[in-house]
Amino acid sequence: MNTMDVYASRSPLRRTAPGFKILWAVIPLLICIGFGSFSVSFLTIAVMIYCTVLRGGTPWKTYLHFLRIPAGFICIGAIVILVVRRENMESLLIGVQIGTGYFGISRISLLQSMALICKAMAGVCCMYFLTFTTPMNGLLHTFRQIHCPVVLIELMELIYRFIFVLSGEAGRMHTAQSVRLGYIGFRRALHSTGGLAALLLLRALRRGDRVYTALEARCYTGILPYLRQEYTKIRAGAVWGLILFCCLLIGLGILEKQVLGNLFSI
Amino acid sequence: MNLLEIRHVNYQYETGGQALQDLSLTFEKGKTTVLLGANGAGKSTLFLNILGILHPQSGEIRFDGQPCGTSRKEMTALRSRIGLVFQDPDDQIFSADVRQDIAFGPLNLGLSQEETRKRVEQAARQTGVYELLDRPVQALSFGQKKRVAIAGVLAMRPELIILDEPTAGLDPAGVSGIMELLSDIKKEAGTTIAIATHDIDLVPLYCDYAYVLSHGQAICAGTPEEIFAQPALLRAHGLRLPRIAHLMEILEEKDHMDVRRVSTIGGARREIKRLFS
Repeated sequence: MNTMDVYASRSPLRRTAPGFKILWAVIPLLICIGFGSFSVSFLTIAVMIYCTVLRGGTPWKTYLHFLRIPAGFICIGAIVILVVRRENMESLLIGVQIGTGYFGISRISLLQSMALICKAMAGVCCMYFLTFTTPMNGLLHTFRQIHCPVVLIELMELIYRFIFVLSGEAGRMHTAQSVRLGYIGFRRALHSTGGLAALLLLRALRRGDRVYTALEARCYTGILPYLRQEYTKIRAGAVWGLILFCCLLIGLGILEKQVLGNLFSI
Repeated sequence: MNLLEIRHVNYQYETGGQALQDLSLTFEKGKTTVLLGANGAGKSTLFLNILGILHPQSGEIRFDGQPCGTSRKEMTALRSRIGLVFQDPDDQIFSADVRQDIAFGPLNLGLSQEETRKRVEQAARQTGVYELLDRPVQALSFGQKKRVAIAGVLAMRPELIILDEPTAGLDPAGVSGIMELLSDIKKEAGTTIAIATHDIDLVPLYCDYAYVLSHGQAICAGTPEEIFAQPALLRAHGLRLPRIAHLMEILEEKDHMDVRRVSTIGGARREIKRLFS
């Protein structure tokens, strides 16, 4: 299983304007969060999955694999909202008495947690569309266009590159410790982790020094220069598609609020 | 004509150890010069001194007949004419994708976007990484990263390319690939090449001149034939003869056969055929 940006670098959509893809991901995301309704979330999920898997070239297996982790977190978070405390058993669908109160699931908490799951998954699908179709360089290109501070962009680029280097090193160090039984037992595991963290920091500092030397050797001027990338022009059809999609979402959201609005009130 | 001259350079680390002691070397234009030495001999420190990243306490470094200045402008001019490829490509490649990294050098030199694009593609084709231009760097193998690092230096079109252990960590195909690439660069552009290595078997095949370094001093210098005529000196400083030359040495000294001390497979083949005919 490769990392997401490897799929992005192979995606058929990698050459489309990253600014447009950001709009395509972020505007529906905001609408979803704003309404928090089921139909808006479902439509968003459906459209994003279509765009990521069928148009964006991400394999199904990979996409589902990557959805698992956020799904896990979201479900755990939803459980917190699902279980409520009430003074009596009346409003609870199922529940138990613990101490002076009753803990259980009420109709409202059930609907709220389901709506939250849908909303959050829709948000994840929006961001996954962006991540699976846009290489890092594309995102940085857009940030430059909107005149984000250059220091931040350079930091993003360097952090992105060296996360992989450092995580690779950390992985190897962990393996080297494990095969020497460094993680048997809690105390030993803590000790080994501490050693790993300290050494990783030291190595990172030393590598930073060497990287700076290498930059100097190639005439570093103090700013990381940028080679402009060519991106394909956005077709008018795609823009109208986005406008239509968003109008549909807003329409569905308002409709659902009117039809089901009283479901959430008691 | 000597493109680079090191004259009586002394360099001491901040921590106190003497890294380079009264070191004098020359690098002839258009030739491949190799610096042989065990680990810790001072090869990498010498390179950093040449590029002006470290400054020698005494001695002089002359490039193309002119002494190397220490002002920012002079050092930038020098670094545009001398390229250094570091041993670990992960130290050198810093960018989000391969194309941006190769473009770093030319853009720093002030070249236009168009010209940079041309140079990036040319350097990528020369080093065989053209198909990798849009890939993220972490998806590359070690050998591919080494080639990208070389491409990044090539794109600046330096007159002298210094490579610190270019073949370390590469598989045999990778080793011969890199050395063939360097030969092609030398042939096509007349670039002077300097290599630091302890892969002694490469020396008779690819190198015109050799220095043996030990503890910051130049122990001996000469063509590969001249260096390999002193096996005891090499062994005393943590090095050895190429395998073929070692074989010839044993045949001559232990078996008393009349062989010349050749260092390449082609030379050994000739000697064997000569013995049998």
